[in-house]
Amino acid sequence: MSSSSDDYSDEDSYILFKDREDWRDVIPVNPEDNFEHEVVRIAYSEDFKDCFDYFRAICDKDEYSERALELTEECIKRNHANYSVWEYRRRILKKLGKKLEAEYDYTQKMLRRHIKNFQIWHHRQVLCEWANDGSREKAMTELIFKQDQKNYHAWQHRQWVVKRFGLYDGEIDFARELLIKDVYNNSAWNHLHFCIQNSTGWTEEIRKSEISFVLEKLEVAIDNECSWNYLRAIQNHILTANTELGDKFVSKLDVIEERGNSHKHLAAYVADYLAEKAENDSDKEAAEKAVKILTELSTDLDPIRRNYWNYLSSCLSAQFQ
Amino acid sequence: MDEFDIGNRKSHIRYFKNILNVLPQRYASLDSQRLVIAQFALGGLSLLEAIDEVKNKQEFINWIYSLQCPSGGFYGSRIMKNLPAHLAKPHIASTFAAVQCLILLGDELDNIHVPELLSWVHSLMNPEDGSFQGAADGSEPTDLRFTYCAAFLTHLFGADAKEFSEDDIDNAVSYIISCQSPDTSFGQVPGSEGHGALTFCALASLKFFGRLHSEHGVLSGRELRRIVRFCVNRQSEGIHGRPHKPDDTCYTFWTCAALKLAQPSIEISEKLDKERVLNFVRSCVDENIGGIKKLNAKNQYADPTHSYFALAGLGLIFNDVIPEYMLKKKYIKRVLRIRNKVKESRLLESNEL
Repeated sequence: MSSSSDDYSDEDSYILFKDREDWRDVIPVNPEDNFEHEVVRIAYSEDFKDCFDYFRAICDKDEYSERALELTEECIKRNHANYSVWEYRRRILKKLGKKLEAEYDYTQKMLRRHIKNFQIWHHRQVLCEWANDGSREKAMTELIFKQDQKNYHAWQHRQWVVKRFGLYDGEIDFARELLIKDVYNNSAWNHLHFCIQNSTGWTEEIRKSEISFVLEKLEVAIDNECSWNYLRAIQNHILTANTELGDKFVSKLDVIEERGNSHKHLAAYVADYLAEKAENDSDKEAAEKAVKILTELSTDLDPIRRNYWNYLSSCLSAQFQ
Repeated sequence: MDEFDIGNRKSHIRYFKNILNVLPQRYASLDSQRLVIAQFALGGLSLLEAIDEVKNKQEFINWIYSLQCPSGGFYGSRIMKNLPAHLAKPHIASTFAAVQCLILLGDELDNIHVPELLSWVHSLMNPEDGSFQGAADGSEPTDLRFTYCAAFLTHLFGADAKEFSEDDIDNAVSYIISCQSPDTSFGQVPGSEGHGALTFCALASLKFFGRLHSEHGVLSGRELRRIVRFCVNRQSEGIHGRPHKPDDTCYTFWTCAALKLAQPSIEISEKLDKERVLNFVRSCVDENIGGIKKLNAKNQYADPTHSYFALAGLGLIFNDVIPEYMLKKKYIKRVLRIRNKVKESRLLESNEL
């Protein structure tokens, strides 16, 4: 829930539109079709009603002017999710042929306050389209990441800009740097995959170097689901495609004497690898070993998901009875 | 169904009833989507088996229909409706919410302008990539949430081949698939990070389009099992939406609903620890005003979204909610009857022509 309405309520100098000299020619529109049994009413403040009464008035008049632009800003302050106000604002900007500089500043200011608002992000995207310019977006999203490094909208925006304007240069390094700071940042892992997918593509060479990268990261944090997911993804989820790697993890798990919760993703990888092997080659021995690991997952390594691991282990046992 | 208990039922009922009445000024940013808030409140009451606490159901129904646009769809509130025609745009999420509310209130949906609604939904589709926007002319973006709303509406109102051709559905389905992320879950737009809620939107849409677990299914058994893994991994105590994000009560619904859709033959409690989920949700109950908070944090209040989705999620885990419809089981029979009725009456109309 937003608390945006607190942003302006203390402004003592604020003047209602009905009291503004330069708005005297406009008659506010307050449709009186008040439904007797209206549901989910909102206890609007006086300034909220005032703004929207004047907003309806300028829309009815089809007015596209500086003062109308200012009015949309006041409406947006009071409800930044009203997409019709944003739409009208865009029409005003177009009709007045406004330079977009100020609008970029304005949206940036708004985004930093309301980082999860869909309409502001959408508006920003439209601006970039109009200006055919995405050059400031990387820096802008980085400001947002300082507030919230997993902000979904900012990542979506950055990816859109990178793709739309072909700004892949430096992106892979950017994602890697974020992962050096926080290896658990799933958004950064996703971005790394996105950039490779859409720039160089998954050549054999890249796949190899990415495997080394992720192995390094697993040395730092063996329990990190993101790293394991990335490793699976770059092999297209076919774990037996790389038996060298699979066997390496099998041995790695074998030699860990005190296995605990932090080994659950390693164990899950090994179990999946062995189960796949068992299925491909009707390898009963691999199946038995996988069942053993799944059982260990359910009892010791990951008991919160014990039902799930038990279910997998019984499916596999049944298959190889 | 097994019962679940999240404490003071009366205070939760009061919380939802208060929402239906008047919201304080700080909720002004919800002004453009009031139907959605109404859906959360009514949905919450239905999950608490307290829908009859709503008096004046008929007036409520009239209010909803007053927000219908003659050329198809619903406005989120009066403020979105009372604008000149070139600016007043119904929204697909409001339309989804309107239909949900009408179902919960026992309305038969006889006053929905069905052909207009379907052609409006169709007009929101981008023919180039099969995505749906929330409102016309780019005033709202395109993403997978809106595909879900579109899929629900076309399913319920039985779009025929003229309204939604096989090609349209193929197109919509290929957009859904393009939103699949490397870890096999789904994101909001192509390329974006996988997420419990969007995974729900993807699977539920495929279900409505007849492309999940059917002979036309587009996800293989292996892929579905990977999606199950993604969802199962989203439990730490409660449920969250993305790896290494904190548990959040609304994902009790989103992630569990995705899990159920990915593997419907197996109960959620056969894969997750339901007692822990229940305890987490209980720890997020707002002791002061009723309802449920996003997280168990002192400086938080309950809000309509988390209150509703937490209860819907528990309803799902305790096997009383059908995920793709977001409704309790007991409503489904009527929904399907209405669906048949709409179909028959449209057939009749087209024969008369």
